[in-house]
Amino acid sequence: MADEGETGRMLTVENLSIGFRTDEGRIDPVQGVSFSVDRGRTLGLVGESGSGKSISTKALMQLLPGTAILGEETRMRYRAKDGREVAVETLGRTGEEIRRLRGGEIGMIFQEPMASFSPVYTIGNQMMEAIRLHRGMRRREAREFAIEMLDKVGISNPRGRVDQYAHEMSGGMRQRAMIALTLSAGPQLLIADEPTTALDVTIQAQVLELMRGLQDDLGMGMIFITHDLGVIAQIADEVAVMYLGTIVERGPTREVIRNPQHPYTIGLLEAIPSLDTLTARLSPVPGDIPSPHARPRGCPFHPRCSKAIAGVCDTRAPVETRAEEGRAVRCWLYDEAGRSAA
Amino acid sequence: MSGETLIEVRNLEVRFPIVTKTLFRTRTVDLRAVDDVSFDIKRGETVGLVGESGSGKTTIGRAILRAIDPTGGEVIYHTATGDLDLAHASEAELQKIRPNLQMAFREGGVALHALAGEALRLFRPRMSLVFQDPYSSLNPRMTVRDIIAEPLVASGLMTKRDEIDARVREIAGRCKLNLEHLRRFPHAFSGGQRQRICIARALVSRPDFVVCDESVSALDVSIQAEIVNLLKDLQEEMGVAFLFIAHDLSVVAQMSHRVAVLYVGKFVEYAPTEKLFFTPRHPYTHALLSAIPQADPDAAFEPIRLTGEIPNPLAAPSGCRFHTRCPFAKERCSAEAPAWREVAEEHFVACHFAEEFDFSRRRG
Amino acid sequence: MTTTTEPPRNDQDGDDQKPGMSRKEARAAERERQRLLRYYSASQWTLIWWRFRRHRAAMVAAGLLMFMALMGVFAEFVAPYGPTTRDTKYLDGAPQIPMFCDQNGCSAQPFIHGVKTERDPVTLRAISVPDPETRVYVEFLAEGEEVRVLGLFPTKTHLFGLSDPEAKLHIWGTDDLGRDVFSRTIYATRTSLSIGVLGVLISFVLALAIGGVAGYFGGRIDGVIQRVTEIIRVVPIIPLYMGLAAAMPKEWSTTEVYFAMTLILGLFGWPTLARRIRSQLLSIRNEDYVVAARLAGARPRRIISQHMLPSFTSFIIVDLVISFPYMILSETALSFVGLGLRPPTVSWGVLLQQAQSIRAIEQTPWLFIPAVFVVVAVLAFTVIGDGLRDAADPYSETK
Repeated sequence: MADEGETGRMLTVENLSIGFRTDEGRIDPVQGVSFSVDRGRTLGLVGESGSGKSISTKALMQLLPGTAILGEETRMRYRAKDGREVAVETLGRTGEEIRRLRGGEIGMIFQEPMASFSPVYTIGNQMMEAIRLHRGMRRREAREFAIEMLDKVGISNPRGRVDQYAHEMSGGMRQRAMIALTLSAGPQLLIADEPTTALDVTIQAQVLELMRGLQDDLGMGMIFITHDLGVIAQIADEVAVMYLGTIVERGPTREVIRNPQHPYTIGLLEAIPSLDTLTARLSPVPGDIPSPHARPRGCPFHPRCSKAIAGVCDTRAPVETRAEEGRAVRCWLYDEAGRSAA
Repeated sequence: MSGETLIEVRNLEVRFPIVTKTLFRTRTVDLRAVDDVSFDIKRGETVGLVGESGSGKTTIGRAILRAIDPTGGEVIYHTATGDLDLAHASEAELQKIRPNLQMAFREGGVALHALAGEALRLFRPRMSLVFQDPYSSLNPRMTVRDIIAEPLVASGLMTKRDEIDARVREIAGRCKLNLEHLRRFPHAFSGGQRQRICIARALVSRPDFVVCDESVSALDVSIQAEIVNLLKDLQEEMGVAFLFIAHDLSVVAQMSHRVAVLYVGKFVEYAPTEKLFFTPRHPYTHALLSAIPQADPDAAFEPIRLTGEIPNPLAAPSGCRFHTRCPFAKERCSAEAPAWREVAEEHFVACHFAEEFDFSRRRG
Repeated sequence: MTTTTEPPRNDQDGDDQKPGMSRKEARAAERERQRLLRYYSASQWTLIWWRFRRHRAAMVAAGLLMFMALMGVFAEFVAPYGPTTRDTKYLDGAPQIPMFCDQNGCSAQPFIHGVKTERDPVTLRAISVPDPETRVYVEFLAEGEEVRVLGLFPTKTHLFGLSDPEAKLHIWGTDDLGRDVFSRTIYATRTSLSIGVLGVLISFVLALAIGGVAGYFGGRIDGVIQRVTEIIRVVPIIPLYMGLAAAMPKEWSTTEVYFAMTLILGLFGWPTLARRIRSQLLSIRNEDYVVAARLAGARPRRIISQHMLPSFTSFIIVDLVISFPYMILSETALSFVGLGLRPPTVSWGVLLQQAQSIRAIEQTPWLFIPAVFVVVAVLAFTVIGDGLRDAADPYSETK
């Protein structure tokens, strides 16, 4: 396993920090986030609004707006298909290199596929454009390939559908077409940003199944962003729980959900209504998620944490523990080895 | 819960005419958003309404509240005294609405579907709606105090300023809002707090019946649980009945006493929460339950594979509407619409083969 | 791009006090708390004003316009002479710039040279030339013609004038009849701005009524109103104005012509605004908070006045401000071609009409000074409109 991890590592992000200049001063929606993705594995990024899970991946694609400032210590290393290592943070927002990265190397799927499709081109046209650009196929070949891709994502009658417009399809079908479009450029890393949130549950189940199957077939790495721990449990191999711009806990999904360590993860898991036990009252995490403008000092979670230690948690930000099997937690309740300090 | 019926919905039907115009002719097709739906809601009870997009769940809620007009069926509102209690209406107003009142008055209840004009307006404070989006449902130009007071002021339920203030403060307190924030404008609040304001507005006129239309769906998980608890607390304190509409089955399970499952404008199953979630009888309910990913890596996630997409209500399938996606569908299903029947006590299903299925789930 | 300009939402603003805080930090925190409190309880208009204030160009434009409007309102006081007062000794006279020094030495009080009449050696026509030997001093709050400020308060005092009541000061020169260009421009400012205001008001009232009916009731009524609006919009506006203006009886007094002009401008200015109001009403008719008001038992009148209109009054104001320049330009254009206001009324258009000759361009370019006013006023209105539009939606997170 260890050597496979070495050779299979395709993306390493270290100390990613993103700031924005606004009229009201500077905000820092992402602070010191580190994660990595291996070939054929799925990393789940889970968090609520304002956790910075989406912007982190936008930084990977250099898709942040002009007012954004990357931290000086930010390192984003991506191993391209040809084996070269690309320092993503040094690429600009435009240019040949980043364009090759977007789509061809790293694909992205969004929550609302309608926004990603042009309303004036057919699905097939847009797919063919991506295929010709990234795979260098000719028109006729590209069309056949597009039909093949549509078939692969489970769209019935792909020959007819290829000439349809996105608005002629239902929500689930559109998301499938979006996946086909993204995959037709042949990326080896897929970033899926809440791809099933807007879908009905029965359709969500279909899309999740499809994505797992495609990943097995194509051996892609995947970053799956969602607010739904249920979805994470089904699709992610590793999970990173984010709160107000930092990863508070990470590790193998099974471990983190079975045995959560950070008070936020514990609270989040308890707050989810269960389908198997009917209870009189749910257990919410007390308080409100602060806005990025009012990020609390010290540990960002301390105002809502029942175990906060006065004088410690509210003054100094905890460092991440390094513990066995890729599990780590960022909390003063644990010492450096990850043992409970209490 | 007194077990007394509050709202009775009989054969409710809502159709929207869809007009397609071509150069030479105009074609009108009826979209049957809600088709022959019957159920009742007891005092102080929560009835959950679940379904996927296009199932008509929002339409049912709005039709009962008369935010849209039903095209068929009846909705009866049983008042506590068995009388149409419109104490806040002036003599002149009562005179004006008399003809409509006589038409709408039934023994022990008011026919909501027949109320019109002033009579409907005067009846409005008896029921209310909590919206999904806590941002668009608050008027950004009004202070929180004015927003909460609006149902009292607009309907003429209260006219004295200090009375209104007292009521607003009381209800805001119950909804755990900081009373010092009442002079602020909505832009000062987060999503969870805004939803508390919406709930306070819905309850300020002390209605017996509130429709919660996806009221917690837009909130973060850690906040959502708090709002669910608040709704439950308020129900115990004030005895209000909820129609709780949501697409998230787990929230509905925690919130409701009874749950109805909708599919393309029709009820497929209606039962007490326990029965519906642990011994469902309809294949669609079963499929829905199996499709929800649980935050438990060891729980088997084997969703029943429903082929295809949710049908367009404009072209609802013949017979049982679910037959196009049902893994158990037989010939009879496409030909004959299943009857709505009681298969166990208080457990209603519309499926030809309900008795043959055992979809029981284990409890956690 | 979504840069939020909002200060943080924070509901624990009461208990922010941390034990480890120094007194200085505590004071800063208290100031921040006060600032947030002000923000949270700020009304829509306060928020708009806060944002507008940050728009520097718009603030400058607003200042300029205020200045112009004040000059117009107090024209009798600001202008040294009446709009038709003639100075027969100084026809087609060049601007007289007050100075402090000449070949005879300097003075602390500004002065101008007296005027004497000479024969032009070539054409033998009588022309006015400055007489460098005589000095007439410029005074502030000088005595002059008796006027009624705002038509009410009689006074002889003017903003400025000359020490010698017999001599006359023409800082922007005179026209061929010896009328003071500066005074005429000030009076014209009043006429032109007030025509704009009245025209906009008339079209606003019409737009509100027509657009409001169409937008609230929708359906068939809306259809009919929309067709009428379209018909009015497709009528070519310049020939129409010309026809109507030409149809005005010659024997009408200048006041009657003035009001007829505002009416014409107002009657044809409403369609754009009416459409805007209609579409706004239609789009928010199904907003959640409007539905909420309806379900709360509010009557239509209350829904429109309390819930619907306030949500876009700011946009209406922006539209109004932006439509001012069209009114002013229409008046100027009509008067310029001789079909609008007629002398002796003075407006920017009338003044420019009189300047339209080769002779004016060649010999008396100061007659074009009113054009500068037109340009400045139109630009100012446009810039203010821009600033207001940016500020108008204080709840938008994007800029």
